[in-house]
Amino acid sequence: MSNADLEARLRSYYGRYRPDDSTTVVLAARTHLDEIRSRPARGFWSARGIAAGLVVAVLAVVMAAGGLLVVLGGLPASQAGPSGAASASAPASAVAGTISKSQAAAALKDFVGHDIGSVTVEGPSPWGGGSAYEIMGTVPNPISGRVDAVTGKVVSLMLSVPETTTVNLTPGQAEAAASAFFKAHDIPVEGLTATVKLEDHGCCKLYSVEWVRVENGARTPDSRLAQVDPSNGTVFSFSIFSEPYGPVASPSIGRDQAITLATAAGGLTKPKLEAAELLIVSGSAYAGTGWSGRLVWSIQLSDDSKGYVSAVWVYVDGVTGETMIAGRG
Amino acid sequence: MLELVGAQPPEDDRVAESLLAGVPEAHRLAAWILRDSVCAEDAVQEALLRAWKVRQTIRLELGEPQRWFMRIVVNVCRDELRRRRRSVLAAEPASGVASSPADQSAADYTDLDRAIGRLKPDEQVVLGLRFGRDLTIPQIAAQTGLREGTVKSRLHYALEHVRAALEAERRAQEQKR
Repeated sequence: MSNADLEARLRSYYGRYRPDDSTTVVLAARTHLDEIRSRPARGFWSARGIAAGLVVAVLAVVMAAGGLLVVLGGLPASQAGPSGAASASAPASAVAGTISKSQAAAALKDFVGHDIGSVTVEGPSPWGGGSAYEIMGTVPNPISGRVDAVTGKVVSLMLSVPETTTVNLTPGQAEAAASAFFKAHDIPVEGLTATVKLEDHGCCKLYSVEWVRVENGARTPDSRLAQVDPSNGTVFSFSIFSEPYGPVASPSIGRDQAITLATAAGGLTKPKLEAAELLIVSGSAYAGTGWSGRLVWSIQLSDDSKGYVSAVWVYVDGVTGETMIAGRG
Repeated sequence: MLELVGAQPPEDDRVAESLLAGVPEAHRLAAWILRDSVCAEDAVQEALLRAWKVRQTIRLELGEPQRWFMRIVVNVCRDELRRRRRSVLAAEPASGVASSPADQSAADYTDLDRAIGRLKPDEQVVLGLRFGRDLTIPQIAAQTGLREGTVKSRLHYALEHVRAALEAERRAQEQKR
């Protein structure tokens, strides 16, 4: 049998296994991921010591007050008042100074401009420098978003990723679409630096447009991200992440020196530099590590000398030269 | 030097969104590698769990989470193929190839099923990516983390092994007649 014949038979054979539809798998995956995420994260809380005790105490107060931890069921327009007013059956605010779960759900509904079906509300949990509720809906497709627990503003939204590989927009048009979206929702991006990336995920392509505040050459934990359908310019996902940070000094460790230090710390056999970036370490993401708010060089190295590609991300303190393995892959 | 443990909520959200965006492609990959839709769905869920457990190794702004997730999917599929291959090798070859013209199409698939099932898991992976997902050699290399030369050789041996298995089966059928 010739190669061509064999390959033709193989293509025909494999053609039988093409999945018709991945919708149910996506829904199951979302549920699965939600379940995984809702499991107690012992390491997370144990690293926070007193904070864990405070959270437990707050939850105990909420439960004792009759507040529901999860709000289930539809949120018809007749129950949800305008501009985030609480419904008659809504639980009281979980903590003084925060909005209630139903107010948070109503805020998300107002933002998207239509009913979002069966609603689940969790939190509030840490987000940026504050906290936010996480809200999940079902209409017209799975939808999730975060609402700031104090201001009631929507800080992130995720609709279903459009399954398209058609790219009708240029990067500039994608940026304009994302910019118009933020402007329409009074989310300022002035003074931030935009980068646009066309991402190819096989099933679908999308534009990621991110605005980041850059100070003294360093990326700061103040960003806005929008994901745009490349076929028609619709924004289907966005998030606002903004944390307080101190003055950004100039690094005393240079880029080359940082790469040398990272290479020594990374432990790869034949390291190859993939990226080097100066940034301020996120306070919430690295709380408890002693690295929050530090000015660091983030160095990405790879190594393919063993057949497979290994990667390591190293943070090098921009002042002291101290190193930390931020991740391996 | 401090080893960081545990990504925190804001990072988690972005990881979760990125993983969910990759699920349809992960499903297709798994279906073509495993040649079983139910197993493919299980593989995607298992890959999600594995990905979530090691999510702190991703730096979204630097890494490529989708590629990283697909590699986990491929690894999960490889594990399943290893488990499956042990049972295939332990079993006797299925009897007989249909001889009537009407059954010929099904027979083609039956002998291919057996031939592919006997391949090493790594060879089954590259075959599925090449002839199912229709990826090029460089794309398979990127998807699996293998070198292009390794992909080429695995593909070459996989095709030779399939060809040999089909030929052996054909000769066995001729002797039966």
